[in-house]
Amino acid sequence: MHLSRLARSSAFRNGLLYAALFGACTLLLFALVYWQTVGYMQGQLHAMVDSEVQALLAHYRDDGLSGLQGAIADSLESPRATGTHYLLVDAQGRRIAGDLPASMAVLGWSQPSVKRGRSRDDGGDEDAISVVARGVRLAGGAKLVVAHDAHQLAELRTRLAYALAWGLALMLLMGAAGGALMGGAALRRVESINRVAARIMGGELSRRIPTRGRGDEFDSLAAHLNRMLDQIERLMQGMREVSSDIAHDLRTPLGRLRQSLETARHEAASAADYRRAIEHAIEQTDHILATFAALLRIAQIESGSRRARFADLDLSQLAQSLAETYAPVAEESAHALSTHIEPGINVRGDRDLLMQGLANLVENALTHTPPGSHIEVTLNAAGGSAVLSVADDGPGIPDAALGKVIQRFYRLEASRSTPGSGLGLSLVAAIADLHGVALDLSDNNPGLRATLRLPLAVSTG
Amino acid sequence: MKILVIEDDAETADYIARGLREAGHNVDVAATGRDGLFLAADGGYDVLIVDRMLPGLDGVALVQALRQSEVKTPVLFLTTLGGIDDRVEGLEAGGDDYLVKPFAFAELAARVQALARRPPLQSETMHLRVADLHMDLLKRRVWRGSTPIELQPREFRLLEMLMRHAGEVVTRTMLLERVWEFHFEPKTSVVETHISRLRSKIDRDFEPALIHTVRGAGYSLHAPE
Repeated sequence: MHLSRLARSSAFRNGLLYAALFGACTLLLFALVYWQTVGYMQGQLHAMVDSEVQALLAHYRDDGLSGLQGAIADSLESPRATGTHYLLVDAQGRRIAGDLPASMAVLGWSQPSVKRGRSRDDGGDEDAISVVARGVRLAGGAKLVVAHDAHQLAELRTRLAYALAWGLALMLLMGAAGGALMGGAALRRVESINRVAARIMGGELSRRIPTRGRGDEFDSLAAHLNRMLDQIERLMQGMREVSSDIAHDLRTPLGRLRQSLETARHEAASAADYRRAIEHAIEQTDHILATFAALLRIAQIESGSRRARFADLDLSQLAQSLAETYAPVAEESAHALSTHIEPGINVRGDRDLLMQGLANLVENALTHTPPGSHIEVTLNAAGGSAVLSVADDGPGIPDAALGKVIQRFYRLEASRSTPGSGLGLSLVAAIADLHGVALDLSDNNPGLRATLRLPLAVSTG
Repeated sequence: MKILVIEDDAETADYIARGLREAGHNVDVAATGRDGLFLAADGGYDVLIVDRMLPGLDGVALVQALRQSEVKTPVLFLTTLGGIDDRVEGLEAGGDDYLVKPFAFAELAARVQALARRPPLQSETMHLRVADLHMDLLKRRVWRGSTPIELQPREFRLLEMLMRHAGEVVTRTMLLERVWEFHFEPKTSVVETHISRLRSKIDRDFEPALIHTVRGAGYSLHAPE
């Protein structure tokens, strides 16, 4: 994996951001601990110095300057006072007691660094030490300074600062490493999806994004994408079929049209001949256009955009009026059309398309059964559905072909001679599909029964 | 009649304009929606023929704009093959009729005629009369001379449609759309069968015959000239 890609990955950037945020929090925490600890230690030191000053002042009040001198000398001798230093100067600034240099005779609190002038232990120690000192003025211009070794405080400060610096560095390092790790993992998954997408775009339509079975977000993304790809592949497959169907089924009538026009050019002898030929050509063109219209209509129905216009409608009334429309047509072709329509059945759907679908089923029965056949349109409510069926007692459809007749352009050999585009039942199937149901074709023993089970509209259910 | 054709396809526009001029109409052609809107906004036309798809200003938007500025000239939309949503959209936008391309010229001519002569709704009459054929729209009854004629509801609507457009050509498709609400082409001869039934009821036993077949176009109900 390329480093610059990693740096651009959102997971890595998130990792860095988190590391920075965490670092800031840690810094704040350390600062708090630092100020609290150092402040506490400083307070302790001040208290120690203060109590020593008070004790010496008590001596001064009781016994005067000489008493104070003695007390300082005692303290310096005592092993208990390790780390405590004294200075007593007279009004002229000369040291008269103590182990600190006279230059340190400063009033109030101070934190000087001093070279010890006199060691109680080995004398030669010239180390500079940091102290906390308090100077007070005595009567007559003398000054008393008590100081306490502050090297522990300084050490604490140094150690805390070290700990902070190391902790912070570690935190940032771990944050960046974690970000890189997480970013890398996410990037690898996204990369794999990208690679598959590129191959699919390159034409390998059947390729799918691998899932890891962990059920994480990437798996669910991959699953969704795969389902989408399935649908796209199915649609493209359908499109290929349609185009080849169109090519196949329109080539024949177009060829015939060309042939008849050519024949007319060669053989027509009179204006009447030409007129007949032109009329015939227009008729053939209309037939081709009708096939085109049906195909486009199916495609548009399949796109599902009509669903936006769904409304509740009285299916009983629609079926009744269609039956009335086709009764004379049936009579004309010596078919018997009967109806069993339960009144008041409402469904939600597209009125125009349901009408066309039912008309297609009735016309299908009328054109594919011999004279004398009986056609029955029934509508009843059963199990929450409006069951609409058109049944005939004609030759029917062989079981093996039942599934195929709803495919575009599929026509039984027996019906090749009857008029029709072979799109009637596929249109009905598309309309059924738009309404979320399937067109059910079954054997009516004898004949064909086409059934649509539409969910009842809520108002009637 | 003064007709404005708003159509971007020059060949189609020419075909329509030539046909309408031959039929004696005064035809203007606009090739874009903007030009069309400009011309139509004057309101000086009897019928507008508007293509649904136009460059620049779409047909639907054009008619919406016209209707908003109170131009009530009847509009016939031309839509492309298979555009099943176009009809509803066109009518919602304020169109009065629609025709799917490609169409037979007779179909266009009949629809333009019907649109131009559409009676305003306010002066709705309760009786229709052609020669000795009389229809009472309120009582839903029909007489030929003094003989009452029994009609099925569908036949009544078919006859009403023909009588409302008496003397004009009413095409098969117009009948399918308005009498049966069929917005598709049936495979069987629905219209022919019903017309033949209607003829047997109002024409067979009477003189003269009123329902005439117009070859290549449709039907027309009128008294002999």
